[in-house]
Amino acid sequence: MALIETETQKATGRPLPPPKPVVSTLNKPASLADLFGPLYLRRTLVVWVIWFSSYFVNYGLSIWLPTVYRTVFKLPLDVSLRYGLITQAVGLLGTLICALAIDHVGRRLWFASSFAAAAVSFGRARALPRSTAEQVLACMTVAYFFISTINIGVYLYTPELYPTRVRALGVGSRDRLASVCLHDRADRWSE
Amino acid sequence: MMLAGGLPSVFVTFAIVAAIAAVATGLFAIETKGRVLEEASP
Repeated sequence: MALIETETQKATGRPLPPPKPVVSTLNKPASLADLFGPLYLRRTLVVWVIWFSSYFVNYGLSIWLPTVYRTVFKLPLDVSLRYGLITQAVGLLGTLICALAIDHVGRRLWFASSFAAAAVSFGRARALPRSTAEQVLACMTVAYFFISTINIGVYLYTPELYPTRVRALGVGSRDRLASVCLHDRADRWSE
Repeated sequence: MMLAGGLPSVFVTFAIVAAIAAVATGLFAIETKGRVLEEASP
């Protein structure tokens, strides 16, 4: 640092100005109203949609698919769990790819395309007449791959949307939504 | 235990949720890639 300062003084031929504190965001106290203010309302609503939708689908698939294999397709327990594990492993791969690629692709394009790709996979599963467990596994794994990338990417995106004073509030408010999805799924489908 | 209509109706539900989210995100999400935090969120 000292070297940089010396070099800068040498280059400019003048002593450096004295350091002074810089406030680069608006200097005002945190408030819940910030999340719904003119600048942030749209971001809050969009990010809530992303959180709710991605975790609605994620928990639906991750918690409930092994039960489907077992009860609907009558597969043995070990096979059902192994199929569930395959989906999880592919989801993990998706999160890794997202981490490496989202800065190049951009958040909006990534989220919108991944939701669309997942929707197509679900549509494909719906369109299969008398589907086998393996066909369901394939469709759901593709869908889970894309949903996983959103699940991990939105952890990056949400803190970016708010200034430091309300970042914790913004991130905390969406956390409730993801939890609501979890409890809803667990109550309804884990029997 | 399951939604009325069985497995296909669950797939349709998930497809609709994901499709709505795709449209909402594509239309209304802001892009933060490559932006300084203080500039993107003042």
